[in-house]
Amino acid sequence: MKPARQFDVHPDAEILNGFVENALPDAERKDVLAHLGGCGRCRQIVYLAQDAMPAAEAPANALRAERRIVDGERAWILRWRTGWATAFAFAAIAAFAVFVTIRHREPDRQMAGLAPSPAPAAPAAAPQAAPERPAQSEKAFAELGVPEAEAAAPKAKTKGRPGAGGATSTPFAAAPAPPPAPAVLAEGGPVPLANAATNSLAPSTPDSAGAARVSKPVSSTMKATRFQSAPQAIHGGLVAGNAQGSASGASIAPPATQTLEVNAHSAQLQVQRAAPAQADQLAPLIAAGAAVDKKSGLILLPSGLPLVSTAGAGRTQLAIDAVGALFLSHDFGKNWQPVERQWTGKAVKVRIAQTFKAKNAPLSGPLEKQQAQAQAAVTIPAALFEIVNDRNAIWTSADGKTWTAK
Amino acid sequence: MEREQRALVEVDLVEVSPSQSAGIALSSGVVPAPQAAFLDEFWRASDAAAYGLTRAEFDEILIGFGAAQNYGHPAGASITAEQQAAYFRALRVNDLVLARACGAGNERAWEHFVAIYHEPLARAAIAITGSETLGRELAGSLYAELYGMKESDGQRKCPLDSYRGRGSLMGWLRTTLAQRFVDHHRRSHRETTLDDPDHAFDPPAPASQEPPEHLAALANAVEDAVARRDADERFLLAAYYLDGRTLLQIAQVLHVHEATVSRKLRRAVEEMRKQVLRNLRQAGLSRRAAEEALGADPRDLDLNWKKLLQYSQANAFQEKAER
Repeated sequence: MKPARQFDVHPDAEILNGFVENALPDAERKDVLAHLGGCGRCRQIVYLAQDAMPAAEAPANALRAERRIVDGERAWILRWRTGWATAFAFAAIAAFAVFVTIRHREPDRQMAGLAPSPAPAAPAAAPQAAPERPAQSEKAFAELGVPEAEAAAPKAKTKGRPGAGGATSTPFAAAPAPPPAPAVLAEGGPVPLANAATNSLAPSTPDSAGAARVSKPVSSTMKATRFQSAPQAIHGGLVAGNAQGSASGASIAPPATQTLEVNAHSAQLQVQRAAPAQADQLAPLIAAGAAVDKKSGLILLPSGLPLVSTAGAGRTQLAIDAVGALFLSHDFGKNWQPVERQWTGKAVKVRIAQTFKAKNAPLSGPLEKQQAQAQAAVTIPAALFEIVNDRNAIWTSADGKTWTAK
Repeated sequence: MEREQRALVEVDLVEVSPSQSAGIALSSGVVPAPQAAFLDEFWRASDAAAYGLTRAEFDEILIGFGAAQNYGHPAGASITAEQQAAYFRALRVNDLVLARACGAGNERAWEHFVAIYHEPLARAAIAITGSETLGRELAGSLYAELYGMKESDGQRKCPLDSYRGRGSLMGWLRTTLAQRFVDHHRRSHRETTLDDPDHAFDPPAPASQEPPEHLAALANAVEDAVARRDADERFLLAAYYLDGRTLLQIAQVLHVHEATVSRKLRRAVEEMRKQVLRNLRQAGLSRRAAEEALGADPRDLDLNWKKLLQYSQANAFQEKAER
């Protein structure tokens, strides 16, 4: 084979030297490698040129090759890193979605977990109820053979059972006084505000307990549904408060829901959405710059303790902390001042007294008589604020500073 | 030693005609400003002035070389000054200018070339041939060839003109020496390899009778399996099994770690074995029969390993040559 012909069919010295010195672009290097795989002559040339390379030059080429390999590895790692970053992003999104889902389900689970606990509900009694009512309630549930809370839950969804359990009272008479839940306050303690908000919004459906008080004019007849929880009152993030309250209320009062036929002209109709009102009440507190614990999401009062119950009218806000201290604010909760203790026991709840107050006497008798009683109850004015202590005693105040026993 | 001195004397006596040096004559044209900018840069970085090259000669060499290659772009493509500069930055401009100046017969460039490369070239030749005598003889003959003692169509032909600056000039000289040596060896030892004079891998003499069916199937399976190997694996198989190079030597050629070569080689062999088994089963053999067939004596196979590994990737270079 002549050298001239060799140059025609083999890579020339320039290319082979570029291969030996690792100075060729990748594509050309692959071409040369492919040729070398089948060409013994060129392989021998490459071997000889490589062997003749002084040791001083070899490291430089090796360094260059190493850099290329490292670059290749870096590129590989970078590609994988990009892949991993994408995977991590998806995992983070998935984790966040799971977290949010769990967080949303948490109130339900807490409610479910608290609902069957009968013990806290036992001492609960409506403020207006007679002292013997809890006993009646226990007796009633004992007769039914179910825990109070369990019994209350289905009752809350039941309509048209005005006389069930023997604890039936007038719908409007019992309605303004939401069932306190001191045991829940004591045992459950404060829970994150988000849960409270979620919980407070939960019963917004008309069938739910504590969702709304409905007194609606209808042309001929109307259905007034009574719910247990207090409108416009927030029970400091007590997720179980409503459930428990419903349960305890159910234990002393009539079933959570009652249907009453009334004439259209019998009452001035008011609709108070309890749950949205609670959420609306929290918003100005947070917006006004009330201290919020970043970890737990709780609103902190000047005592450093979390808020467990609050109620407000206009700019005036009242709040009770975890140890029962009452605080008053005239600027939507931005600044709080402590209120001197004028009540006994531990204040566990503050609420807005209703603009109408029902008589203590339960509704009874024929339907017409009940309607008349309800109409009369609506017209009675009431105090503005109320606090309830752990023994279900009530104090009222018009300005939030001076309290008198009810 | 005497041969080398004689060769050098002969080199000194060769005259460079004016027409031969016309290639590096100064151009009367004005170099455009963008070109002048990067030519300035290369001129300052080079030691062309040290061996007497003028700036005009330097510019002429670079622009002439770049234009002949179209600055590494397809013929006819318009090239900007920045592309020209980038093309030259990827090259060994200093070596390129020296080689071109020598190829054009610039005496001061030759003096510089000999001063720099005389000893390294001799050492490289000795390393390639494995003998000082043969090495110095080889280096001397290359000097003569470089100086353009060979003529083609009445023109002095200098191999340095084929240097394009992609690698170092010393590397190019080493590779050229290796080429000359291998070609000489193959001419004098026709159809033999350098490291394997015993023809260990030559195919056996054809058998008088047809090989058994299973051996024919095995030969076909092996042939197909080898044909499926990619370029890297072909080179590894050839270098390791045909040329008998060590893993370290192959690693040095490929500029990778020895362990990488070992791993790739093992993987290539495993893949080949699996492919042979697949081919045998596709040919109708059972799995057990296919595995038994793999145990056949390789000498019984009618296979030419050199031909098997001869790959048509060289077509790319053939096409280049035809152009």
